[in-house]
Amino acid sequence: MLLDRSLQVFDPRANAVTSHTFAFFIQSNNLVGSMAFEYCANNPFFDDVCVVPTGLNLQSASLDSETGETGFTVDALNTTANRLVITRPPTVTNFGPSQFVFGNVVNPTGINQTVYVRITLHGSTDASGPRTDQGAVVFVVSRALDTRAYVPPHLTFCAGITVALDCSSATGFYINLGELSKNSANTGTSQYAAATNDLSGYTVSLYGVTMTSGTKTIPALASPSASMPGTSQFGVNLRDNNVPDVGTEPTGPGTASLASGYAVPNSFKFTSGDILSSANLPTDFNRVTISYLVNASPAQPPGIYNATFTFVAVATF
Amino acid sequence: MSTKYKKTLLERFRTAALWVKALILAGMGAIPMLSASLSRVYAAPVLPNREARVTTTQTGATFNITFEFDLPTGFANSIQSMEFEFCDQPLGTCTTTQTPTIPAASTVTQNGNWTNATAFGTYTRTNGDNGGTNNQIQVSRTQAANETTATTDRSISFTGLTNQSDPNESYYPRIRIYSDTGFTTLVAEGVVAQSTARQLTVNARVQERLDFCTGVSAVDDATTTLGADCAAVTANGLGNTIDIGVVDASQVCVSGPSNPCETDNTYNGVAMVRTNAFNGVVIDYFAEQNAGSGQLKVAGATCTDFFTTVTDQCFNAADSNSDYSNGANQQTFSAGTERFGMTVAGVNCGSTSAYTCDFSTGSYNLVRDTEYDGTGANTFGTSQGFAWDARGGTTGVDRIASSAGSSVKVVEDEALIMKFAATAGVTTPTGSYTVTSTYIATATF
Repeated sequence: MLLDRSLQVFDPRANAVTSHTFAFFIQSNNLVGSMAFEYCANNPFFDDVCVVPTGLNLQSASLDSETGETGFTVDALNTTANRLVITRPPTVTNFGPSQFVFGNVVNPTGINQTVYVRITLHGSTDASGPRTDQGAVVFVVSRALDTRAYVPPHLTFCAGITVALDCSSATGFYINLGELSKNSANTGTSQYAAATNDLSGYTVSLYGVTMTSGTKTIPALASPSASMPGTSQFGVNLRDNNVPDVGTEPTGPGTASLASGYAVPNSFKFTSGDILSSANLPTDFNRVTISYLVNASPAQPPGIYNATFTFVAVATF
Repeated sequence: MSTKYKKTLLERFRTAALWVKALILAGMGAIPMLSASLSRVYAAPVLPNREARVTTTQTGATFNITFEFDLPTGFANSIQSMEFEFCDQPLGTCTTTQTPTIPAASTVTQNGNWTNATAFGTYTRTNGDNGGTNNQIQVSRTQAANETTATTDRSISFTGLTNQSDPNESYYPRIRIYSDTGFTTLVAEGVVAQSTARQLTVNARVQERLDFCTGVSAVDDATTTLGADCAAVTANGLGNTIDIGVVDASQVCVSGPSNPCETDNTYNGVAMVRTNAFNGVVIDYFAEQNAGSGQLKVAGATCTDFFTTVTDQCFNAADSNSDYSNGANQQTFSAGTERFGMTVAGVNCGSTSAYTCDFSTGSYNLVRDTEYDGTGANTFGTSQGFAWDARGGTTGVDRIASSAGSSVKVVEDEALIMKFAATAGVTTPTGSYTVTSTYIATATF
């Protein structure tokens, strides 16, 4: 009897084309010229009729590797759909383990089917005649498990005078720039933060109208320009400035980038609808600080000037 | 084996004596010879309660024989020599066609029921007094003190006899007890019987057995039965899909009835095995490759790597080393740090009846691999974390359980309750993610 015998099927799914690895221990010294591996659906008993497992095909099987008893080749002439024969010049076996890996085996089609393999060793070279040794192994044609999950789309965005990096909080919505002066700039800041799992990332745009009092306006800077006290100007940027001293650099682990028109320190502009920042991949949070600049000329008509701005974050899923 | 001769043999002798009496009345001329024959049969008192026990009756086998007997009523003699003559017959001429072979040397032992403990140290094989060659054992000792009937069941044993080759053949050891050391003064005797016997051979075929199945179940512990066997598991109508649910960065979603991320498919994965393999069974799995990866992923998407990138449509696999240098190593999950993995929360014994199977006390045969042991103890859960080998191929086949290292390696319907877990990162792209895993049971007979 072959000891310590096993069959490992690499892919046990129905109809899979896969490798079968047989391992066993030979405990005898007999002349062996062939081995047969007969697959049966009914039982492992050697003298019983063998019911062929449906769908099994061994006729294209290859002997990919052998250890222990070696020198075998596939006997194509005597191999059938359910009986694989390997042959060599008859040689006396040694006590010890052997392993045979067969590739290109087509599994049976019955899911959850138990298949028995009757292993026989013969002195002949065609697996006919008396058996010198034998043993049976078993495998099961199993089904796979599918695991699934759904990740919903998200665009997380917040705006306020101050916001937490992860948008867990946002405070304030009103900036008082004070009394405008011809001698120095008036400034203020607000913040926004954003993250998304959109494969295309997101954009953040700013909409609104420049500082207005009735019919009187403070002109918006159409192109990035430096602060000029005594000249009526309105603009914003997204950097840490020193002339005037206002703003901070963007923070956060995200990969968003600033639009060029608003990314130069000490240069300000405003055009409604402009994109302030964007990311072109899914990105973690970035927090951006917007610096607001207002200068007034001596000729600026008196009044209470105000402006309302809307931030719009867009992701395309 | 032993055969006791009490009244039966005596009754036969009495019967024979009656017939002889009749012959005497009928034919006076035969009297002297018959009288001599009767005198020879009853030359000494008969040993009561005598028996011969052998260690085997198998033909051709070597065996030991023990003779045990009591002493006749009123016995008050020394016993310094004994003969054991092996014959085909209990009386008369001795032939030896059915008798065992007597060894030239033997180990002689006696029990403690002798009045005098002096050993019968001299063993000799001789020809039988009534015929035969080398068919008689003679033992002797120097011990002039009397043996008495104060003790019973004296025995003496000999080793190394060999049964002859035919079964069902009887033979009769004739026991003669002498008070002197020279086998001269007969003080008691008796005959016992033994026989060779045909051996009975019982054949039975026990076929190699391996039942293995995977599926899903709402069972979420180690005691509730999954059904009688694999047939029940595969026929429960629940299919073979585990849904982890809606996964985001706010929590870790773990499959099963307590999963907060899913309300419909609240199932665990199940792998049940039954085998009579003497050397046990191992259970492995591999992740089916899709576009080159076995990660939990959007079908068809290309994964950048196994562990790092959080912007591709592939969940990073659970491996504490993040390099598979030592296979897939178990790690705990933190909400918002993208990961996917699996663990075996417990070994369900609810369908096992052939032996004591109790997960909570460690009494089970199918032992989880360390990297897929949910709690590291015999408690049901996932506190130790999860692992996942996404490599596929021969490299990515990972072991999750084995009975090969257990003292009892056969398994009856022990089932692994598998839990799948995932947590998304902030940037884990939206989409429907799937992975298929295949499980392999390999039994060594």
